[in-house]
Amino acid sequence: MSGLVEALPLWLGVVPFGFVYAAVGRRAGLSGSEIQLMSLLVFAGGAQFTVVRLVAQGAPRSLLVIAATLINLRHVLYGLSLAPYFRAVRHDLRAAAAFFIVDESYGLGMRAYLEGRGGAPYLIGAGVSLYLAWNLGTALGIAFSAAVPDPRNLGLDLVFPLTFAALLAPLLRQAANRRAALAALLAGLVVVPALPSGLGFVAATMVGMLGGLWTRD
Amino acid sequence: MAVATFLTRAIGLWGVPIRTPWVLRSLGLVPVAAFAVLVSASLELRPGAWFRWLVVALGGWLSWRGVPIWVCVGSGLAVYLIGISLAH
Repeated sequence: MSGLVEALPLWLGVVPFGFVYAAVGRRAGLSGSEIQLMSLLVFAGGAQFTVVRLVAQGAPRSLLVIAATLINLRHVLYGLSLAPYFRAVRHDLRAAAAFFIVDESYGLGMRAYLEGRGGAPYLIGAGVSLYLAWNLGTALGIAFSAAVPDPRNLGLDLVFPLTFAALLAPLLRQAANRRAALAALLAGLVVVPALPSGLGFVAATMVGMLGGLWTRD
Repeated sequence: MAVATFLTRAIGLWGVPIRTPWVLRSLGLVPVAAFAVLVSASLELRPGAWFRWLVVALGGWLSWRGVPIWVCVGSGLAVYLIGISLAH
């Protein structure tokens, strides 16, 4: 339950994000059930946004899958860094946790592990909370997107960088982490806009990791 | 697409046990590097974005001082909304 509760503040950003995704999907010509089904089965905001844009441009189905996979490549890194904590976890719980790994649940889950209070139930709880928020936002967007202004105009998209900055800051007490964060921050500004979304994220993260490896604490 | 997305999440969790020290050290840096990229990629460098960077830096500083995440997010959002309404 603690993961579920601790993810509640993120609803402020996730619900409007789901709302905007549904609005974009509507404009791309997708039906309400297609938009909602994608949120229920895929549960990956960045990939879903990209896919609805590609649908609007008439892209073939194979390209949709390739684009979604590229954008989600960062999840492989997340999984690898979580793997040591999951060695003794049952396979069904591991599969459930895998489904709910998104940027925010990974952030909360990893922080909990680093503080010695993490676990698969915490990660799943945070993931379920975000899943509910994402699907609620999608449903509201399908129903009301034509009548409500874009929530990004209210600054609610700032919830995400604020959350990740808050997750990052306590990790900066070690010199290696500070150097990794600085390298990743700069690489994120340069590489992410220059490469296709998924590749840019993975490349910038790796630059950060290399930056950290250079430093000895 | 749902299957492909799930696989990207599951592959790492079921990955082979890693014992090489530098690889383990690299994986320990994944959260730090990923959070930093998520911050910079969300904010971007564009004209007029300095206030957003400032607000996010404030949220990070609060967290550094031990303030809970939800307070950091709430305070940052409040400062941002007050700031943009004053600017208009």
